[in-house]
Amino acid sequence: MNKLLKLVTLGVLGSSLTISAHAEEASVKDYRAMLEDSPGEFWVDDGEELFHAKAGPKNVSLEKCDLGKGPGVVEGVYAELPKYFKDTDKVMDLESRLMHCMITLQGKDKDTIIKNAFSNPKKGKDSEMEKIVAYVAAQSNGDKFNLTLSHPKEMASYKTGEALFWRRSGSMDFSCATCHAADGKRIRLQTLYNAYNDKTTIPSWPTYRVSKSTVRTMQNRMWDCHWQMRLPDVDFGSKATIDLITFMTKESNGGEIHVPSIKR
Amino acid sequence: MKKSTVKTWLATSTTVAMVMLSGISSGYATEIKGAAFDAETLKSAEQTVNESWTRSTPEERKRLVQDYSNKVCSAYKNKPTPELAAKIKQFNKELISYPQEGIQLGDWKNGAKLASSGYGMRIGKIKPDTGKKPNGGNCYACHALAPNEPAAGNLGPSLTGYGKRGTSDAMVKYTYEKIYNAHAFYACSGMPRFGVHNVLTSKQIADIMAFLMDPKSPVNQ
Ligand code: HEC
Ligand code: HEC
Repeated sequence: MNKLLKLVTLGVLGSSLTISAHAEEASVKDYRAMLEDSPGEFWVDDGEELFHAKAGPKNVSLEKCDLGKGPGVVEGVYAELPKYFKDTDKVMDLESRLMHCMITLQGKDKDTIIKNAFSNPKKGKDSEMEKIVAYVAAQSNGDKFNLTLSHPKEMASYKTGEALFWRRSGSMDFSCATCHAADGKRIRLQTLYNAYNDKTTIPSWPTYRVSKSTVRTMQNRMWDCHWQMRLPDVDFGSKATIDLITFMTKESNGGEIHVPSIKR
Repeated sequence: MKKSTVKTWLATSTTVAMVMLSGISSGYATEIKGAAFDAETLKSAEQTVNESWTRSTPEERKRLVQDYSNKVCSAYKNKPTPELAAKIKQFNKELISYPQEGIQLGDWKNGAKLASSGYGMRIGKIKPDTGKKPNGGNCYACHALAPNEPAAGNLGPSLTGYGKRGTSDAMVKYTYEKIYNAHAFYACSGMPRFGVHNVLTSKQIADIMAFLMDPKSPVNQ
């Protein structure tokens, strides 16, 4: 399907969904069948351009960014993230690593990157991060998540991540485990994924969210669930988010990556 | 713990919020022997929390501070030993306060609205609640209530037909206390402590109680 035709289909899709606010899973399957690919493919295409384009005060591209397999390598990197990076002496996920490259290689400003990390289509606010993440992650499509935790800091990140997953606080006394540690649970009609028994959900992120008309990344989901928990906005790319992502991704080891998927 | 002691404990834990975030207090160290996580991991989690909300205000960060109950429940993955469970329930009983006019059933129609609404208490810069609407109890997120509302979650048991248990003083008191602080009856319950955190006022709790217990309420039809 060419881009224009896809866009037209998408417009129809968008408006029919606003009508049924409670889009259920069956209907999402119908939409999926209607489309050859996830609409997120646009983000992948744009992300590819952005990745190779010269940008920032230093006017360089991200082609020298080392995402774990050497400068410029994008194929298969997502399947091994988060991982330990020697140059920062830290475990980093895809998004915090990309931010690191934007700062060190391109000379971009951290606050500005963070401010623009999440798009807001309703307000016409775009996000380059969402596009670049979609592009890089999609270069691992068909690969299986394979976190080895061979570095001590990776193991520590996993363990801390699990402790954070169970850490209750806030006005609702929630922890992630309140909602994501058992099979067959729902909040209202929304099915909740079980972090301990699921190999398809984490490998489906980043995802095109029909209800938001944009691609959302795992960092965004970390913000969203903390917001739902009535906790303050968790810092983009913070250690808490990375440790949680290490924990959840390791639990999904063996799950095959298919992104950007399409979701409610 | 006496109520006054609990109050002091809570007050202290708020004023020294950042200290509490950075480590496990010595009194608590004995509690976590045999917990699901070792002391080192729990300490790392606290340090991580401490460094991961740097863009929030100190006022907002108070939400991240755990009280005794949440600390122990988290360390034990919500399965405390029987001794700790008893302590947690006692700790939570003492957090319950009662309306001066006594516990009464309110207006079930308003209770129905509150049971449906998940509004309130969300903070941050990105999408905070404005406080223009009253906080909701969001009971439907976790419980089936009126049988004509299919969009009910299943984290908690079904409460359809709850009113069949009657409206004796004991049932009215239990229901009030359960909504105010579910953890006083069930250590480490998944249910939020709506009264403890001032999510719901005692008048709102009375309205929700009527929704559960009034024979005319759809919950009991
Ligand atoms: C009060 C319930 C609740 C809590 C607590 C909660 N979440 Fe969620 N989570 C949800 C809901 C609802 C969704 C969206 C499901 C949907 O859209 O179908 C979700 C979605 C997710 C997803 C994506 C799942 C998917 O199906 O694609 C991940 C990953 C996730 N949450 C992780 C977390 C983590 C980590 C925490 C703790 C920091 C957490 N959640 C806390 C309710 C919760
Ligand atoms: C995030 C999930 C959640 C929410 C929201 C929630 N509950 Fe619960 N509730 C539970 C769970 C889990 C239990 C079972 C454990 C327990 O008894 O504490 C429970 C138990 C109960 C019980 C005890 C049932 C019995 O048989 O005695 C009552 C009553 C109750 N909830 C009422 C409410 C009301 C009213 C609201 C809204 C104001 C509410 N709940 C909101 C999760 C929740």
